[in-house]
Amino acid sequence: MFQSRDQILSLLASLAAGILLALMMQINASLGKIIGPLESSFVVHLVGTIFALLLILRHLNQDFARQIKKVPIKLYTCGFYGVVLVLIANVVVPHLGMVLSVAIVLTSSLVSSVLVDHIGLLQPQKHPMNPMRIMGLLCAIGGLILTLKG
Amino acid sequence: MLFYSLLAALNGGIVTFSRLINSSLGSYVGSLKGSFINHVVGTLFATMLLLIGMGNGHFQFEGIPLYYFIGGMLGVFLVTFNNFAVPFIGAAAVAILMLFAQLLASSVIDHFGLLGAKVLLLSPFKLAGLGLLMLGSILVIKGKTTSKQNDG
Repeated sequence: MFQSRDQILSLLASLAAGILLALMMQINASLGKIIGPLESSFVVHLVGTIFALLLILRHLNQDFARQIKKVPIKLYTCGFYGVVLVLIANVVVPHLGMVLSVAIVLTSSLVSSVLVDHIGLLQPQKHPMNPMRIMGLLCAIGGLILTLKG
Repeated sequence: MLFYSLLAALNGGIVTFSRLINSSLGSYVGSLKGSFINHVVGTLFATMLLLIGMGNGHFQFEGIPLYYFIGGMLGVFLVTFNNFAVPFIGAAAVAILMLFAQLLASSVIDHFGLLGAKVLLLSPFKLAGLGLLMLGSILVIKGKTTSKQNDG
Protein backbone atom coordinates (compact mmCIF):
# COMPACT_ATOMS: atom_id res chain seq x y z
CA MET A 1 0.00 0.00 0.00
CA PHE A 2 2.74 2.41 1.01
CA GLN A 3 4.80 1.44 -1.97
CA SER A 4 2.05 1.96 -4.50
CA ARG A 5 1.10 5.34 -3.07
CA ASP A 6 4.63 6.58 -3.68
CA GLN A 7 4.54 5.09 -7.14
CA ILE A 8 1.36 6.95 -7.95
CA LEU A 9 2.91 10.14 -6.61
CA SER A 10 5.99 9.45 -8.74
CA LEU A 11 3.82 9.00 -11.79
CA LEU A 12 2.11 12.32 -11.10
CA ALA A 13 5.42 14.02 -10.39
CA SER A 14 6.84 12.79 -13.69
CA LEU A 15 3.83 14.03 -15.61
CA ALA A 16 4.05 17.34 -13.79
CA ALA A 17 7.74 17.58 -14.68
CA GLY A 18 6.89 17.16 -18.36
CA ILE A 19 4.24 19.87 -18.17
CA LEU A 20 6.65 22.17 -16.35
CA LEU A 21 9.23 21.62 -19.05
CA ALA A 22 6.83 22.67 -21.78
CA LEU A 23 5.59 25.66 -19.77
CA MET A 24 9.16 26.67 -19.08
CA MET A 25 10.19 26.53 -22.72
CA GLN A 26 7.29 28.69 -23.85
CA ILE A 27 7.61 31.18 -21.00
CA ASN A 28 11.34 31.61 -21.58
CA ALA A 29 10.74 32.09 -25.29
CA SER A 30 8.01 34.66 -24.68
CA LEU A 31 10.28 36.57 -22.32
CA GLY A 32 13.00 36.36 -24.95
CA LYS A 33 10.73 37.91 -27.57
CA ILE A 34 10.53 41.01 -25.39
CA ILE A 35 13.95 41.40 -23.78
CA GLY A 36 16.08 39.28 -26.14
CA PRO A 37 16.89 35.55 -26.22
CA LEU A 38 20.25 35.82 -24.46
CA GLU A 39 18.82 38.25 -21.91
CA SER A 40 16.04 35.77 -21.24
CA SER A 41 18.56 32.95 -20.75
CA PHE A 42 20.37 35.18 -18.28
CA VAL A 43 17.20 35.90 -16.30
CA VAL A 44 16.26 32.23 -16.29
CA HIS A 45 19.61 31.21 -14.87
CA LEU A 46 19.63 34.03 -12.35
CA VAL A 47 16.16 33.17 -11.06
CA GLY A 48 17.13 29.50 -11.03
CA THR A 49 20.26 30.27 -9.02
CA ILE A 50 18.29 32.17 -6.39
CA PHE A 51 15.60 29.55 -6.13
CA ALA A 52 18.03 26.63 -6.03
CA LEU A 53 20.07 28.48 -3.43
CA LEU A 54 16.99 28.78 -1.22
CA LEU A 55 16.39 25.06 -1.50
CA ILE A 56 19.94 24.03 -0.65
CA LEU A 57 20.67 26.69 1.97
CA ARG A 58 20.66 24.26 4.83
CA HIS A 59 23.10 21.99 2.97
CA LEU A 60 25.74 24.67 2.48
CA ASN A 61 28.30 23.33 4.88
CA GLN A 62 31.73 21.74 5.13
CA ASP A 63 30.47 18.56 3.46
CA PHE A 64 29.40 20.54 0.44
CA ALA A 65 32.77 22.28 0.28
CA ARG A 66 34.50 18.92 0.40
CA GLN A 67 32.28 17.51 -2.34
CA ILE A 68 32.91 20.51 -4.56
CA LYS A 69 36.67 20.03 -4.36
CA LYS A 70 36.33 16.53 -5.77
CA VAL A 71 34.35 17.58 -8.82
CA PRO A 72 36.40 17.43 -12.04
CA ILE A 73 36.68 20.91 -13.51
CA LYS A 74 35.29 19.90 -16.90
CA LEU A 75 31.92 19.16 -15.29
CA TYR A 76 31.50 22.83 -14.48
CA THR A 77 30.92 23.43 -18.17
CA CYS A 78 27.33 22.30 -17.60
CA GLY A 79 26.44 25.94 -17.06
CA PHE A 80 27.73 26.89 -20.51
CA TYR A 81 25.55 24.27 -22.17
CA GLY A 82 22.57 25.37 -20.15
CA VAL A 83 22.86 28.95 -21.31
CA VAL A 84 23.24 27.94 -24.96
CA LEU A 85 20.37 25.45 -24.65
CA VAL A 86 17.92 28.08 -23.41
CA LEU A 87 19.29 30.66 -25.83
CA ILE A 88 18.75 28.47 -28.88
CA ALA A 89 15.31 27.41 -27.67
CA ASN A 90 14.39 31.08 -27.20
CA VAL A 91 15.38 31.75 -30.80
CA VAL A 92 13.67 28.70 -32.27
CA VAL A 93 10.34 28.42 -30.41
CA PRO A 94 8.86 31.76 -31.53
CA HIS A 95 9.45 30.74 -35.15
CA LEU A 96 8.57 27.05 -35.18
CA GLY A 97 6.16 26.83 -32.26
CA MET A 98 6.40 24.41 -29.38
CA VAL A 99 5.27 21.20 -31.09
CA LEU A 100 7.74 21.42 -33.95
CA SER A 101 10.59 22.66 -31.77
CA VAL A 102 10.11 19.89 -29.23
CA ALA A 103 9.71 17.30 -31.98
CA ILE A 104 12.99 18.25 -33.64
CA VAL A 105 14.91 18.57 -30.38
CA LEU A 106 13.53 15.24 -29.19
CA THR A 107 14.39 13.35 -32.37
CA SER A 108 17.86 14.83 -32.45
CA SER A 109 18.43 14.02 -28.77
CA LEU A 110 17.26 10.43 -29.30
CA VAL A 111 19.68 9.94 -32.18
CA SER A 112 22.55 11.51 -30.29
CA SER A 113 21.69 9.51 -27.16
CA VAL A 114 21.84 6.23 -29.01
CA LEU A 115 25.18 7.19 -30.58
CA VAL A 116 26.66 8.47 -27.36
CA ASP A 117 25.48 5.37 -25.49
CA HIS A 118 27.01 3.15 -28.14
CA ILE A 119 30.46 4.63 -27.65
CA GLY A 120 29.97 4.99 -23.91
CA LEU A 121 30.78 8.69 -23.79
CA LEU A 122 30.87 10.18 -20.30
CA GLN A 123 29.34 7.07 -18.86
CA PRO A 124 30.74 4.16 -16.86
CA GLN A 125 29.47 1.68 -19.44
CA LYS A 126 28.68 1.31 -23.11
CA HIS A 127 25.13 0.68 -24.23
CA PRO A 128 25.47 -0.69 -27.75
CA MET A 129 22.90 -0.09 -30.47
CA ASN A 130 20.41 -2.85 -30.99
CA PRO A 131 17.45 -3.47 -33.30
CA MET A 132 14.93 -2.10 -30.80
CA ARG A 133 16.74 1.21 -30.48
CA ILE A 134 17.25 1.50 -34.22
CA MET A 135 13.57 0.73 -34.76
CA GLY A 136 12.79 3.43 -32.22
CA LEU A 137 14.93 5.95 -34.06
CA LEU A 138 13.22 5.12 -37.35
CA CYS A 139 9.80 5.54 -35.72
CA ALA A 140 10.87 8.83 -34.23
CA ILE A 141 12.18 10.14 -37.53
CA GLY A 142 8.99 8.98 -39.22
CA GLY A 143 7.00 10.74 -36.54
CA LEU A 144 9.00 13.92 -37.03
CA ILE A 145 8.39 13.86 -40.78
CA LEU A 146 4.65 13.44 -40.20
CA THR A 147 4.68 16.31 -37.73
CA LEU A 148 6.52 18.49 -40.24
CA LYS A 149 3.92 17.70 -42.86
CA GLY A 150 1.11 18.63 -40.48
CA MET B 1 12.58 27.67 -41.51
CA LEU B 2 15.47 25.36 -42.34
CA PHE B 3 17.80 27.53 -40.28
CA TYR B 4 15.61 27.25 -37.19
CA SER B 5 15.13 23.53 -37.72
CA LEU B 6 18.89 23.04 -37.84
CA LEU B 7 19.29 25.09 -34.69
CA ALA B 8 16.70 22.92 -33.00
CA ALA B 9 18.52 19.80 -34.15
CA LEU B 10 21.74 21.23 -32.71
CA ASN B 11 19.93 21.78 -29.43
CA GLY B 12 19.01 18.10 -29.40
CA GLY B 13 22.67 17.20 -29.41
CA ILE B 14 23.37 19.72 -26.66
CA VAL B 15 20.50 18.26 -24.61
CA THR B 16 22.09 14.81 -24.74
CA PHE B 17 25.54 16.08 -23.92
CA SER B 18 24.46 18.32 -21.06
CA ARG B 19 22.25 15.57 -19.66
CA LEU B 20 25.35 13.38 -19.35
CA ILE B 21 27.42 16.13 -17.79
CA ASN B 22 24.69 17.05 -15.32
CA SER B 23 24.30 13.40 -14.47
CA SER B 24 28.02 13.07 -13.78
CA LEU B 25 27.98 16.24 -11.73
CA GLY B 26 25.00 14.93 -9.82
CA SER B 27 26.89 11.79 -8.92
CA TYR B 28 29.36 13.99 -7.03
CA VAL B 29 27.10 16.48 -5.29
CA GLY B 30 23.51 15.35 -5.84
CA SER B 31 21.02 16.59 -8.42
CA LEU B 32 19.77 19.65 -6.58
CA LYS B 33 23.22 21.01 -5.75
CA GLY B 34 24.24 20.08 -9.28
CA SER B 35 21.36 22.16 -10.57
CA PHE B 36 22.49 25.02 -8.34
CA ILE B 37 26.05 24.83 -9.71
CA ASN B 38 24.65 24.62 -13.23
CA HIS B 39 22.62 27.80 -12.69
CA VAL B 40 25.46 29.69 -11.01
CA VAL B 41 27.93 28.91 -13.79
CA GLY B 42 25.22 29.67 -16.32
CA THR B 43 24.44 33.03 -14.76
CA LEU B 44 28.11 34.00 -14.78
CA PHE B 45 28.56 32.82 -18.36
CA ALA B 46 25.45 34.64 -19.58
CA THR B 47 26.58 37.78 -17.76
CA MET B 48 29.94 37.58 -19.50
CA LEU B 49 28.32 37.13 -22.90
CA LEU B 50 26.10 40.14 -22.29
CA LEU B 51 29.02 42.26 -21.12
CA ILE B 52 30.95 41.57 -24.30
CA GLY B 53 27.94 42.69 -26.29
CA MET B 54 26.52 39.39 -27.52
CA GLY B 55 23.00 40.34 -26.51
CA ASN B 56 20.83 42.34 -28.87
CA GLY B 57 17.84 42.94 -26.66
CA HIS B 58 17.20 45.34 -23.84
CA PHE B 59 16.33 44.89 -20.20
CA GLN B 60 13.04 46.72 -20.35
CA PHE B 61 10.78 45.14 -17.78
CA GLU B 62 7.79 47.44 -18.09
CA GLY B 63 4.55 45.76 -18.88
CA ILE B 64 5.90 42.21 -18.87
CA PRO B 65 3.57 39.75 -17.15
CA LEU B 66 5.10 38.59 -13.89
CA TYR B 67 4.84 34.93 -14.76
CA TYR B 68 7.26 35.43 -17.67
CA PHE B 69 10.01 35.42 -15.04
CA ILE B 70 9.33 32.11 -13.33
CA GLY B 71 11.03 29.94 -15.93
CA GLY B 72 14.14 29.49 -13.82
CA MET B 73 12.05 28.44 -10.85
CA LEU B 74 10.15 25.85 -12.89
CA GLY B 75 13.45 24.35 -13.98
CA VAL B 76 14.54 23.78 -10.40
CA PHE B 77 11.13 22.31 -9.53
CA LEU B 78 11.60 19.93 -12.42
CA VAL B 79 14.82 18.63 -10.90
CA THR B 80 13.16 18.08 -7.52
CA PHE B 81 10.24 16.21 -9.08
CA ASN B 82 12.65 13.99 -11.00
CA ASN B 83 14.66 13.35 -7.87
CA PHE B 84 11.55 12.26 -6.07
CA ALA B 85 10.21 9.99 -8.77
CA VAL B 86 13.27 8.15 -10.10
CA PRO B 87 13.97 6.04 -6.99
CA PHE B 88 10.39 4.76 -6.94
CA ILE B 89 9.63 4.03 -10.58
CA GLY B 90 13.00 4.17 -12.29
CA ALA B 91 14.65 6.58 -14.73
CA ALA B 92 13.12 5.01 -17.83
CA ALA B 93 9.54 5.33 -16.60
CA VAL B 94 10.15 8.90 -15.48
CA ALA B 95 11.63 9.79 -18.86
CA ILE B 96 8.72 8.27 -20.75
CA LEU B 97 6.06 9.90 -18.60
CA MET B 98 7.83 13.25 -18.79
CA LEU B 99 8.05 13.02 -22.55
CA PHE B 100 4.39 12.18 -22.86
CA ALA B 101 3.32 15.11 -20.70
CA GLN B 102 5.74 17.44 -22.47
CA LEU B 103 4.36 16.56 -25.91
CA LEU B 104 0.80 16.89 -24.67
CA ALA B 105 1.43 20.24 -22.99
CA SER B 106 3.29 21.53 -26.06
CA SER B 107 0.31 20.61 -28.23
CA VAL B 108 -2.08 22.48 -25.94
CA ILE B 109 0.20 25.52 -25.75
CA ASP B 110 0.45 25.74 -29.54
CA HIS B 111 -3.19 24.98 -30.27
CA PHE B 112 -4.56 27.61 -27.90
CA GLY B 113 -1.69 30.05 -28.22
CA LEU B 114 -1.03 30.05 -24.48
CA LEU B 115 1.62 31.99 -22.60
CA GLY B 116 2.41 34.28 -25.49
CA ALA B 117 2.66 31.60 -28.14
CA LYS B 118 1.21 32.17 -31.56
CA VAL B 119 -1.75 29.92 -32.36
CA LEU B 120 -0.65 26.85 -34.31
CA LEU B 121 -3.61 24.54 -34.63
CA LEU B 122 -3.16 20.82 -34.22
CA SER B 123 -3.81 18.59 -37.17
CA PRO B 124 -4.22 14.84 -37.67
CA PHE B 125 -0.72 14.75 -39.16
CA LYS B 126 0.78 16.44 -36.13
CA LEU B 127 -1.04 14.16 -33.72
CA ALA B 128 -0.06 11.06 -35.65
CA GLY B 129 3.50 12.32 -35.88
CA LEU B 130 3.69 12.97 -32.15
CA GLY B 131 2.24 9.55 -31.46
CA LEU B 132 4.89 7.92 -33.61
CA LEU B 133 7.56 10.03 -31.95
CA MET B 134 6.30 8.88 -28.57
CA LEU B 135 6.44 5.25 -29.70
CA GLY B 136 9.95 5.71 -31.05
CA SER B 137 11.07 7.31 -27.78
CA ILE B 138 9.69 4.44 -25.75
CA LEU B 139 11.56 1.94 -27.94
CA VAL B 140 14.82 3.85 -27.61
CA ILE B 141 14.47 4.30 -23.85
CA LYS B 142 13.35 0.77 -23.15
CA GLY B 143 15.87 -0.66 -25.59
CA LYS B 144 18.83 0.58 -23.61
CA THR B 145 20.94 -2.41 -22.72
CA THR B 146 24.25 -2.70 -20.97
CA SER B 147 27.30 -4.05 -22.69
CA LYS B 148 28.94 -6.86 -20.77
CA GLN B 149 32.32 -5.71 -21.95
CA ASN B 150 33.79 -2.36 -21.09
CA ASP B 151 36.82 -1.12 -22.98
CA GLY B 152 37.03 1.85 -20.66
